[in-house]
Amino acid sequence: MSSFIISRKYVTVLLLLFICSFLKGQNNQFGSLSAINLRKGLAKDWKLNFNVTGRQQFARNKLNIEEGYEYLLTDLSVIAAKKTGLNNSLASGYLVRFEKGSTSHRFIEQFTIVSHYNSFRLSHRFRADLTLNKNYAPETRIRYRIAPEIPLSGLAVDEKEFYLKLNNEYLVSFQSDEQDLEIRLVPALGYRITKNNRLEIGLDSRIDSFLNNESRKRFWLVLNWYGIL
Amino acid sequence: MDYVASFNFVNKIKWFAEESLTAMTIEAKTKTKKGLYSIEFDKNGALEDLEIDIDFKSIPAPVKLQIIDHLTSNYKRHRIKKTQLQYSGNPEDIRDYLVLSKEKSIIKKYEIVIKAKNESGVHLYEFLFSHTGDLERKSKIIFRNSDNLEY
Repeated sequence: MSSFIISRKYVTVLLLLFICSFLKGQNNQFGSLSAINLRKGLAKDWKLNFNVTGRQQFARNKLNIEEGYEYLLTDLSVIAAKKTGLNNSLASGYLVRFEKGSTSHRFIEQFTIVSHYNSFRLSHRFRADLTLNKNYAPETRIRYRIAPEIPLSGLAVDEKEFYLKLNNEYLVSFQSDEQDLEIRLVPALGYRITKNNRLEIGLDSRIDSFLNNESRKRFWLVLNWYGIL
Repeated sequence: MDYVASFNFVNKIKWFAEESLTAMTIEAKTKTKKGLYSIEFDKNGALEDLEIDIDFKSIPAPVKLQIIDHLTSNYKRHRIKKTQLQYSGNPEDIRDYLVLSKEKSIIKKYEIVIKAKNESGVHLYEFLFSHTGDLERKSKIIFRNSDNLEY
């Protein structure tokens, strides 16, 4: 119980810091990301992951111009993964992004390691993707994400139990002659509803363009549902 | 709780309630000079067993050889991930044996977790060997779904 209280305080402090940062900045965006992840297991350690994500903007502040609500985009993706070892898998997939006036196509490769410790799990995800859009030059990104999952009761997350997850991702992008670095931090509170269903709520904060320009900060309230078909 | 307290552990005791495929158990864990202690009870509070993490090398040579022989003859490759000395029997006898070093007729077994490769791939297994090295139980460890950590 005490770890739960500490965790709640930690998440509250982080939230306040992010909101303060948003109010102070000159190039900020705030909205929501809602995703449904469905997994279908296949024979011989193969699995398919289907994802639908919707992104909405609630507010934006750029060069002192303020914008309000806007539905930004919808992502649809399918990723095929093959277990390549005891705790690792190799995956390849395709994502299509529908946004106002354009459609992007993204090709994804990823390698994931999920380590199981006595009282938590830790994942390392290495990902490379290529995004094609007829209005822009192709963009390649190399990404690394580390994500611990810590049960708030017991040694593992059982049904009807809460947990904390903290995603931290680093993305290096290459487009034409330009490179950029983006850093993402996503503290989330999760709940395992049933054996096959999980719900996570958190705050996805992203900072980029800070190498050459004024940094851009984006904050998304995140609601993720993970299920099994 | 009284039973765990009677061990007079120096370090903090952490309590966990865990659900397995078959039952719910309550576990008390603490670190000692001898190693990590795990005292497991059923949901009614009856002692199931007491386990102490040990080094596989510390198992008596004949028993160790028998265990290794079993593993090498059944798996192409294997690696020992965890070894525990498991005590079961009368709870008071176990406490007296461990705390007061009194000779008691308690049941001593070895619980070993290995990463092993066979025809169906690489898996994690939990074995229970008797104090003489005879195999008593083998189970495959199934990992929880990790989609939320991968996508």
